[in-house]
Amino acid sequence: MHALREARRVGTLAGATVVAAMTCRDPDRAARDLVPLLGRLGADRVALVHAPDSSAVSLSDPHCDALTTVCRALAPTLLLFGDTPASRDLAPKLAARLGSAWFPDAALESDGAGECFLTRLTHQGTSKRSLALDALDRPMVAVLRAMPAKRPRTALGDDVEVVLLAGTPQPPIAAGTYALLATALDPGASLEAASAIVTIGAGLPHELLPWAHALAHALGGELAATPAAVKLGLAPPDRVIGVGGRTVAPRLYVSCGASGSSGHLGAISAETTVVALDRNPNAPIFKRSTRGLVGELSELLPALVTALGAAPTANAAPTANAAPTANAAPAAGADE
Amino acid sequence: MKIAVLLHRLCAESGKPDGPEILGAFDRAALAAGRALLANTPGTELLAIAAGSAASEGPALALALTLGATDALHIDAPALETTDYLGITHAIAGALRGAGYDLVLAGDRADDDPQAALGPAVAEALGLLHLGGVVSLSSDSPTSVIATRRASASLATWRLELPVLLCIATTPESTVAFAAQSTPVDARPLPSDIRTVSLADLGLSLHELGRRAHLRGEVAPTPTHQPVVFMQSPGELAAWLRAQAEAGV
Repeated sequence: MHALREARRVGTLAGATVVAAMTCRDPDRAARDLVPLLGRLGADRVALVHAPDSSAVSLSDPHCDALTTVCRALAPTLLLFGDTPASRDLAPKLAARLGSAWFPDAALESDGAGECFLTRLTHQGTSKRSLALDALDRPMVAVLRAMPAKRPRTALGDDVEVVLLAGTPQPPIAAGTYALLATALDPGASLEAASAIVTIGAGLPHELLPWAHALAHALGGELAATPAAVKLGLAPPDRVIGVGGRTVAPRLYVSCGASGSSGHLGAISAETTVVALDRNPNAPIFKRSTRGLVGELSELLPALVTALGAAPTANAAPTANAAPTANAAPAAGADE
Repeated sequence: MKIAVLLHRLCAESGKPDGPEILGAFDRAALAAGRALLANTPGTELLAIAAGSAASEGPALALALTLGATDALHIDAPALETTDYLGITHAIAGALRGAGYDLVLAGDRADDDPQAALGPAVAEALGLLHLGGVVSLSSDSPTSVIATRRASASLATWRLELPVLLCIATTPESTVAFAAQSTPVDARPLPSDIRTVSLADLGLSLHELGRRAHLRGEVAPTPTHQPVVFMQSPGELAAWLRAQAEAGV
């Protein structure tokens, strides 16, 4: 939905047609159930690629073939994807197939004069890469980075043209080439959809865990941890946020006892509001924070939770599966 | 089993390969995954491969050799550092095509200027199945691997017949394990045991790869973040958080 809304914004600025493209097994059902929704989200046209076997395959190849069909039929100049595990596989593969330009982790910006840019942060957020869409001499494939959730906008019209395309016949894949053996819930997946996250760092004393959990609960959010805190056994590995772990885009991110290493801050959306509690006023986390509170966490955290009208519950502490590492010394913000 | 790991020398904030870290977290995880298969599967070969200048990629390949790669191949093409993902894709694919690699590993993304394209694009160029976001990898036979990937709200485990290309996402465990075994290596000349080929050796030319530098866009320092406002008390911060919530921020 985020990609479609952003496409609508660019389409309006540039006077371009917005096409929502998707594969489907049953075109009639898709036209009835999904096309009106896509129109209300901003699509002028909806391209349905009839691919009877597409939903049976979870790998990217059949979907890449379907989108190749769309591109050959409609010759789009800009292909936008939302940031999902599937699109991270599919979009670069499609770009390579088309010989397109490629821009991941992107935000769409405009200069007020109608010119649109794709931008993304690089080098742990210290630099910004930008590309004017007017400079393109070939199609561009872009994946929009996850953004903090926004309130729904006013619905657009549902007068949508439907384009039905026949899917490309699939080349035979040898039996047994791949097989899905098992699926399991990702215990940390809720972090990616959370609107608020409280993250504990290595500087958080173990006895304050119930208070950190209570703060997350009071803010309607999730509890997470830095890699260093996980290493100390303060939280299980599925709660880790950091470059190489999980990246997040909540509206509010409260850091407790994390110094703010580049590997930690690089995993937080640039649009997220960061609040930090730490005993070191010079900790790097405060350079990225909107609000800060300096002092001993053993005093600050319980006082903050109490001021929010909350309190720890008996079973509130997160379960740390990992045992504390013997040679890892907790020091407020020292190693994160 | 023949394994190739695609590597890239990490660039510092300046955009030049002069930072203290040689490899990013994801490339380290890919190398660690290959090394684990090497240790557990007799007869496995582990090639580290990189494309770019010797000054940039030499230290990355030298580090890979010290960390267990059995072979290293440098595609000597400094001009590739100013083109976009597709030039490097064609160079890497040109070196691997027809060489009989069963498993190609890549980092799921880069830590410096993340494009997250090389693995999927090389898979496309070589006609390989590929899977991204892999957080666990093992081998149950000489002809297949078992990979777990992070999907939407779930972890999906696949058995994949070789050949296949996998993009490795790090986990805290692999990051910690790798850090314990790695040894910092300063930039140094290419050691003689790194094989070097040119684009011409691969039958490629820069003209063929296209001049695509303008498609990468321009890089500039980010504007300085607004300075933090330090609250005087937990009560003041609590009031601010309540106001933010009421405003829907």
